[in-house]
Amino acid sequence: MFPLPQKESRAPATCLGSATTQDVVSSYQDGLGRESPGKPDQKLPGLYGVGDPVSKFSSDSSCLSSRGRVIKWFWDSAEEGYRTYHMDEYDEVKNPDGIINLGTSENKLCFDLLSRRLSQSDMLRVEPSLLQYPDWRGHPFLREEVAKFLSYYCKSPAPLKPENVVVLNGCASLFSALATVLCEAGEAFLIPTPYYGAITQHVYLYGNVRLAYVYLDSEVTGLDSCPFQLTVEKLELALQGATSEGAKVKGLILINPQNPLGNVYSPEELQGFLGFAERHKLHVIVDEVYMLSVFEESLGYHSVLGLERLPDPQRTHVMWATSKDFGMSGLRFGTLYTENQEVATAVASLCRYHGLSGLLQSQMAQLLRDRDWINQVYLPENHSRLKAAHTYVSEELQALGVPFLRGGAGFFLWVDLRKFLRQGTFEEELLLWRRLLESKVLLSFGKAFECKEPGWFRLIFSDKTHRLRLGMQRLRQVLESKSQETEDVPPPTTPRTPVSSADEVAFAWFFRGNALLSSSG
Amino acid sequence: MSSDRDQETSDRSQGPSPRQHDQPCGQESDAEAAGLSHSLSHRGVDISAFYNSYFQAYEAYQSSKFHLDLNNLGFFHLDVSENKLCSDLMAERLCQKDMDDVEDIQLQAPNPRGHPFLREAVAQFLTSYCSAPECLFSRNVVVLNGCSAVFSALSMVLCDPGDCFLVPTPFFSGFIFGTKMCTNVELIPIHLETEITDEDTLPFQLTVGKLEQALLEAKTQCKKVKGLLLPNPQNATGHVYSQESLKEFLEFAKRNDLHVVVDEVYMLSVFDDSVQFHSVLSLERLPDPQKTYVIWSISKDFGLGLGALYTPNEDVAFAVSPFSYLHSISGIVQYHLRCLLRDRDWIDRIYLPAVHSRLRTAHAYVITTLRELEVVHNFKIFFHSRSCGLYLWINLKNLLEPCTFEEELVLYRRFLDHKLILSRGQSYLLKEPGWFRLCFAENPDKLELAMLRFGQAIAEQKQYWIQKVVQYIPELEETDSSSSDDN
Repeated sequence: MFPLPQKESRAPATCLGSATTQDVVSSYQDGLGRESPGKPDQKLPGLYGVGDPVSKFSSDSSCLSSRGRVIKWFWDSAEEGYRTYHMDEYDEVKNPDGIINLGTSENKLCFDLLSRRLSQSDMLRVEPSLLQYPDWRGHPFLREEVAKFLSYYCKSPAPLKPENVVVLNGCASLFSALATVLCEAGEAFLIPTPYYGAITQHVYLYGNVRLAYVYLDSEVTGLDSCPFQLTVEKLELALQGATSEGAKVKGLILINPQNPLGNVYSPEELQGFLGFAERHKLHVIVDEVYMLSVFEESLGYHSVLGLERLPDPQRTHVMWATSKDFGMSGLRFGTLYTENQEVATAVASLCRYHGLSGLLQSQMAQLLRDRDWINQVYLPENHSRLKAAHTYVSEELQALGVPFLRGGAGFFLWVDLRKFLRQGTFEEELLLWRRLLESKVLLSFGKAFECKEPGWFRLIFSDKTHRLRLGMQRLRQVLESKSQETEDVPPPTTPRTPVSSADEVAFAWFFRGNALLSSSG
Repeated sequence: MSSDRDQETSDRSQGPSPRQHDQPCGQESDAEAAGLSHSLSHRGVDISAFYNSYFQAYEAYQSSKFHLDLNNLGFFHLDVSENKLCSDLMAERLCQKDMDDVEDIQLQAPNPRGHPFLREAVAQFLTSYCSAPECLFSRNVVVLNGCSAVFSALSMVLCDPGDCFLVPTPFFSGFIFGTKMCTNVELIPIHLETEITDEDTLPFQLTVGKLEQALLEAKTQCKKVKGLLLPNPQNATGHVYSQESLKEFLEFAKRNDLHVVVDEVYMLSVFDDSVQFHSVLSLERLPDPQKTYVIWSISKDFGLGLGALYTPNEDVAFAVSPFSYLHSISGIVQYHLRCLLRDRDWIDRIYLPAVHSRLRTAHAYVITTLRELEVVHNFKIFFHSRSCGLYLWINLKNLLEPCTFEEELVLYRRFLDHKLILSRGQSYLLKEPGWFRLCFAENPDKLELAMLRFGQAIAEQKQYWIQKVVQYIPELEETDSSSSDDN
């Protein structure tokens, strides 16, 4: 038998017999208010945690294996909001009372440009050979285009090589494949929080890899110059802590630009983090999927591939996809760049399960090659629309008196709704989230990003004005009625997490270089 | 291709080591054998090693196909089998106007199970082509990017690590790769072949008796068998099961509380009009609907990556959804697929008739050539081919002296020397040496060239066989102590 590490055959922690999905959800809710394994709410110093994605799982009877039931539960709790949304999607004509989705990170602002480009004749040529089974790493013509594309946009010091490129059907598959080939079952990746929560599933489903969190605070203290700042010191402490709890940490995941914070790391910070990883012989997986969505030029984005020298090139793996930067998450195209041929080959071995049709490969190559259209048509227009939408939503939030991180990259705002919770608990956070959903506006709650502090929400602004307007209106209604309730209700007995002054949080941002403090949107 | 490279290719095509044959899940990791990798985990090393050993020949083909005119009469199992016969028709259809529309929905993050418009199209398509007694529901359909992905996802949710599935041979041992590496499920072969005695022997016949026996043997080895993978039509001979046979297999599964995954990927490749295909979905009543799963794939029929799962078990359909995201199909391709599946007119009047006609012609041509070779070289080739599928299993035991897997490998390499890749029985876990698989779904001119090379290889092999036989004769005479020796 294939040797199985003990952890893999874990049985569910509790077994409540034939609980329904609803029961599972309510047990999840119950679990939020109290401490659970891996959440060091009452452990000092609260800088790290080791994730156990299924710690609250309870079994139900079905044809599924134990593993299958866990997967189903996981999926059920993770996707509840989106399922509700898909059953009642807003449509201005067919369903004007439907749910406005400000939760899914998608750029809906440029479908017109993209459809037009993808409908052009060079995209529609289908040769029979494209229909036949491709090279599993991806057609050479595509990998060459990817190498040239990344060399240009990442400003790499030397041209990147096609043989270091692997293409497959999206970054989710890349996380899954990398988790499988870099880690044994049960091992872990370090990841700063808050982070894009779906990664938990991507590394867990096939890879059975868990995440060790580097908790970041909104409070600005000491050497931090902004909220949720990642430092090498925090990484060191988290690694130490996770290791002491028995986690075997194999790598570090960095998301740059950061999701959900909307910030970017400076080259110095990147060198620091990569240096940390090198010292501890950790792999670094850098997710740069929002690389071209930095609409605030003054942020000054730097890709890892643009650094003069990588501390440990054999352990540095960079991923990018068209889903965000080209607003086509439905098209499913992702790339990995790594100088480590062993890793590239191992990932490519799994590509037959995450393959791309020949047709799509041809289209992607055409798209990436069209530098003129990208630089002169798409990017300027995309950035301008993103900026306008960002400005609109920022102004609305300010008018509401809601603090938020300014961001400047990506499609999201990280919004502080802590003052609208009766108590500073995740249970209250979920209640607010449900209240918003019932009022037909979907946001993402902070717990889904493993944010340490209850009350943070991610709001997506990359949508058409009329939908944003309606969404913000509904948000306003809920928050105003919540404010009313908060006034009516006696002050909470549980001490809330200390909040910096509203001004500091609302208008603090991540500016590198010439930092300016602005008081308007 | 240099002879060194040929040698390399054929050495590695030898297939997995005996250890890997006997124990589909090896006791020791290849990392220990090969030396530790500094980058990869043990399973990462195993993944690379397994992939390399199983797919070497395919990789060789990939790297040489553009400039060496390497002809292929054989492919690997499941996803890698191709029907090249109608790529022209498909390409033409894909260029038509309705395929041009790029709507927002295709670009947007899809419903994880696949776009509803595609699942609906699949449900309707299957209702029609499987002759389902009632309409099939789209909520019971999940789409992934290939049938390997479907089986992989099912293995994850139906089995715990170490559980087993029974699979009738021949099946490609490389299939073990995915199930072991990614899902940790063991595949136990059900050996179907019977000894070839004469022309009428029906090899690879699946019976309930063989199923019972395989299950019993597995249980005595303390294996936890969770399900059965049932190819329909039968994947070696193209034999089409009757509804009664299907019911018997499903009843067996129900009696033993097993999941049944029915692989109907070759459903549309029945090219003999007098033969009626029966899908399990055509049965009036499934013995155990909550444990019945049908896989259908478009890759064989249409050359585009789609694997569809249909199951009445909504729990399982739901649990498979997260895998649908990892094995997702591009929105644009989903849209093309929807257009194709809905175009009944094109499928029924243009595409399928052309596919069937070309398959019939190719099949007949190969059969004729084989018969001619039998006459020319005076030896018997055993095969039993029904009118379905893309390939033909032939038994060349009469050209192997002695009839062993070593000699089978020699012949395999001889085919490679003649620039032909056939699949050989040992890679498909067959117990009897001498089986080879030819994929005849190739364009006529290429097929002709390939059969010419095949004939040349056979001629050479015949000479080699004669020498081998002659070699033995003096040895035999020597063991006869009394005979005098004139040599």
